[in-house]
Amino acid sequence: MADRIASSLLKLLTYIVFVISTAVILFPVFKGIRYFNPTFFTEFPSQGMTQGGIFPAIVGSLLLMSLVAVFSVPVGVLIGVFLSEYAKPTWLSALLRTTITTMTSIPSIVYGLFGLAFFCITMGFGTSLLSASFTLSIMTVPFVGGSVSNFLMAVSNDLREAAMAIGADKRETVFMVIRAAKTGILSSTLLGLGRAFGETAPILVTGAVFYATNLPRRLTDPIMTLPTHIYAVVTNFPEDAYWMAYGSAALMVIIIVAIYSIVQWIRRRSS
Amino acid sequence: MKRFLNFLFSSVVVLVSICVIAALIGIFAMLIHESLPAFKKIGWEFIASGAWYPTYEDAEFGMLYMILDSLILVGLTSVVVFPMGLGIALYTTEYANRREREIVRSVTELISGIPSVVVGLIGVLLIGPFMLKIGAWTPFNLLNAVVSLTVLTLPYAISLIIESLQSVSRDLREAALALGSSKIRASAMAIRGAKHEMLYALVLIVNRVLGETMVVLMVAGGAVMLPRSLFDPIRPLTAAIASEVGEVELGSLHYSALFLAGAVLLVISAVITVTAETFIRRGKRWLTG
Repeated sequence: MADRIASSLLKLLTYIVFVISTAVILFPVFKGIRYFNPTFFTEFPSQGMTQGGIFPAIVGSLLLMSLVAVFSVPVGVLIGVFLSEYAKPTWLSALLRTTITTMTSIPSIVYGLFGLAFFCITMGFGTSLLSASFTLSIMTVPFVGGSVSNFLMAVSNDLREAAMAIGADKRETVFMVIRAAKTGILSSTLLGLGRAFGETAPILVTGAVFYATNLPRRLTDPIMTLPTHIYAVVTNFPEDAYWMAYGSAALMVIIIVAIYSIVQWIRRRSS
Repeated sequence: MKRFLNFLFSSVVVLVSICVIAALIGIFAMLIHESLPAFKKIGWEFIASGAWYPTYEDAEFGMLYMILDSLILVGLTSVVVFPMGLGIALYTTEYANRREREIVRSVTELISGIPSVVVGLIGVLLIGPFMLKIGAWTPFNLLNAVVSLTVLTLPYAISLIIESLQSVSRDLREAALALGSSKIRASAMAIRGAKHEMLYALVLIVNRVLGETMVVLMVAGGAVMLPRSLFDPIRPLTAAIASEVGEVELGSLHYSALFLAGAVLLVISAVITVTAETFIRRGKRWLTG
């Protein structure tokens, strides 16, 4: 009897919370998707964000994510390789593990402060695409590295022994292990970039402008991005500009859900 | 040639690993370096006073209220998120059928990636007007922040708690059920068995809420004060840093004070993490004798 009650109470809780939170999350998509049209994706915003589109924010986010991918994916994979395949000297590997755990728990705004002090000011990059992409890359590397090392360690030792047995050296063995874990590495990369794509506070501090009339031409130009654009519209503009924030938010949610679905699809296919 | 390539690759791998460790040290060093001027000038006053008037002629940099605002927000949100997450996780692992389990797992994963700025937008444009309807005097307040942060962190909490419940061996639970104990008993056993893992999950949730910036920046109201009710606006540390650092004069005392606030955030998070770890270690020793 008590079992039945507990079961139905928990079931009720789960269903209610699920329906509510899914509805809440889908709210910006329903509100925003109706503004999707060619103008919205290809024009600059105009008339105090009431007309035009989000073209510069899309381009800014794309540029930013490409740079973050270029900087953080190779580094992330390499430290994953170190943790899983070398792990010597032991103290270095233990230190790197602690570093990764610590770095993933540092609040994003602290990365923003660091990026501002180091990349914008000390290195002299200013508020720019370059500063923002370095800052985001530093946040992304530990995430990708930790995840990649898990996938590499899941590769069976038989492969390593077989490779050694046919005369492969360490580097060739490592490349075989990487090839065996390539779908896992792909998911780690996608998830890492997906997280970086949604980060707002660090870019707000290191690289974003709320309004630009030109696309960035140099790495040291500031950029508009989708997340900072949503923030800017919602907090600095009157109600007749909100449609643009809804539209941008809908686009972001769709991209994120697409990324996570691809990752789930990869996982289901490989298992 | 082959041996050289081999050596080169190993060196790159080790070098890159060292660089990542150096980056973490760099972050700490930079934070300390930039916050020292403020600390020298203000002294311990910064946590003894709550008066935060950074732009006044006689500027004051007391962070006490902002620290307490952060802690109150973290406490309230965890009190809401953790039991809800636990309930849903228990249902998913103990009672749900296979299809329900699949749905809960894939949907929580899909929505756990929703960017915090989108949740901030939901807080401003959906929850804000609702706050006015239920009698708040401002749409942006402590309650709105708690609700928005719950939306943001619940999926994360559910997957963490499911993971910790699954760390308890299936055999143990099935043996209990086979001996005729009720499912509630078996669930209670699972909770007790996973209590260390769950404490870890709680710490991760707390750290996530403590460091969350965009949501609190957009919906918490931004007033430096101690809230007397759920409808009062607050200004947690992260919101103060994010909103003020854009307008601050570089190298000024205010600039340095914001770095000090960042350092305070890290210290709070470290204290919480270390305390939990000590508890867990002591608990384990007590269990094993």
